[in-house]
Amino acid sequence: MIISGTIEQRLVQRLQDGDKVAAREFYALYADHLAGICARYIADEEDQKDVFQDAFVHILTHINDFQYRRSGSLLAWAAKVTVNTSLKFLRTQQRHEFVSLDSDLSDEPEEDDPPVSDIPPDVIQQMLSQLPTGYRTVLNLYVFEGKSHKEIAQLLDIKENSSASQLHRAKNLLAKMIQKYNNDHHSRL
Amino acid sequence: MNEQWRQQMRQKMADYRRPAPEVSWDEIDKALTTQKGSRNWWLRIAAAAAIVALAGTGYWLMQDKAPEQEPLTAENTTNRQQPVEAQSAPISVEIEHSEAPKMVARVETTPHATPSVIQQPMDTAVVVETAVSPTTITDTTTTDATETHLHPLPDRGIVSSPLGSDKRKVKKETRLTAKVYYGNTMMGSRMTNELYYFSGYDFPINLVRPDINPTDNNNSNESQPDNSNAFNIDSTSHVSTRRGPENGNIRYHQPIRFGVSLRYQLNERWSIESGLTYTRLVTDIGSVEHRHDYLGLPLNMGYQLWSNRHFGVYLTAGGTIEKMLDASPWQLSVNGAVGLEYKLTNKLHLYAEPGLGYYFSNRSKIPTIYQDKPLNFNLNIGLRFDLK
Repeated sequence: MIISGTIEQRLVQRLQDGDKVAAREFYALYADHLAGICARYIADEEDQKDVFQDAFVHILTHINDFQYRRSGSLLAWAAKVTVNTSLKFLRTQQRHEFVSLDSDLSDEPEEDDPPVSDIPPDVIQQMLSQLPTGYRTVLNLYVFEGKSHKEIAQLLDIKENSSASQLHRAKNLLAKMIQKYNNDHHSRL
Repeated sequence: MNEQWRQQMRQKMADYRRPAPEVSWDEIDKALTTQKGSRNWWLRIAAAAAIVALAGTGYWLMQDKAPEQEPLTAENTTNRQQPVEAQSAPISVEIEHSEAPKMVARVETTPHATPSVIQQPMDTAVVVETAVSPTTITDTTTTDATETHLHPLPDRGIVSSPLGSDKRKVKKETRLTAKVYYGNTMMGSRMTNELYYFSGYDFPINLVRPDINPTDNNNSNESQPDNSNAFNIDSTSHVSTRRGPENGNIRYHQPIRFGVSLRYQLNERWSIESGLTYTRLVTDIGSVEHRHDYLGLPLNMGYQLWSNRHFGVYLTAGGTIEKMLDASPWQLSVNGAVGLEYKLTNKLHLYAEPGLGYYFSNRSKIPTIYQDKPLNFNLNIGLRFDLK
């Protein structure tokens, strides 16, 4: 549940004072959302737990770097920390996956955008987790963090056109999965 | 096309939640404890030390500027070693704070009742503020939702509004703050303006100290009372024509002030404050002690210049109208101060307010320190207690 305004501000203040009860309230309020972000970036569940714990500790110990600006900014900031922690993990653990596709530029035909509108969120999440790490990371950064290919290239230390091609491939894979899902789904009806 | 799809995906996944993995609270608490310890304690100690140093310096300056002087009266020319003590009043503050928005603040002051005169009024103030803030909460749904969720664990699967669509307007917090304080004012008061009488037997010469501006810093010479250059010999006037009785050197005790006030936060920067003050002035005229009690009504505006999580700087200015309780005079004064505030914790603030005050003449015939030293420096040091 998202809290806003005065209550959010007060929670920030208590977190900044090192209030341990506030830390638990923060968990109760935001952990699910942040866990969702971890899951979007990291496929392996054990890794997700590790990254989540790291992100959570980072949020609580760096809460003094956070300045409350507007309603919802605590969650926005916490989400950003979680994304960064996930990326850091991916960079150290699976760096090769970004690099490996560098030379493998796009030669697939451009397909239409995957028709996601009728697919439930948890199914999409499931599909995202099946994407190769490199594709998934680029797609996440592009779609959910609103990064440009230039920014993604810098973040992941890959070439700009590699970012574009990985996004392209991610979307194609996703489109295929959706098609398959729709087929399975409709055949059952 | 890409942009549209991006939006579609974002909306789709905005509410996506996943049961959070269990976290190791041991590790988190440990991290919090070490982090808190390493990060804040030195900052807090440094700030507290700075304020104490500032206060100490102020006190020392006041002490230093007012060297022990013996009034040059006929009596004590033969008895020069009259000790003069200036003792600071030990002040203890007790704050009892319960969970409920109810707070008991007690300020105890036990000024040492020194029979001799305190010549160097120092200025200290301990202020305890109770703040009761009727916080405005945006809407009831938010409150309810939050309150349910502040209990151990939220219901999984509750779909909340997405971050981006949460555009409820947040009303500004309006805050009412109460404070109780104790303070002394330093009335620039060395004995610069005192009247000295030589009630010589057959030598009716009135020696009047040069009228030195209380703010003037060049008064250090007056520690040599024998320096006859420091006196104007006014041979034309007679003892009886000057104010005060014979032998009547006037001495002012340290004024003591108590007050209660309420502060209303108008917006983020401006606040307005009013309340009641009780002030006791003690004046010795000759060997007779005169007490004057004042009840005052202050009105101040505050302006927050800057603040962050640990410090705050503000300006405060206003006026006070005071009524002497046992006589008619009204006393009007204006004051202005710069406030430096250090937030010891979320609720406990330590502050120092060096400032200037000016007391207007009220044409009273009763000699008070206000009339003699209209311009004074004051330094308030206090604690402010905030209850959110």
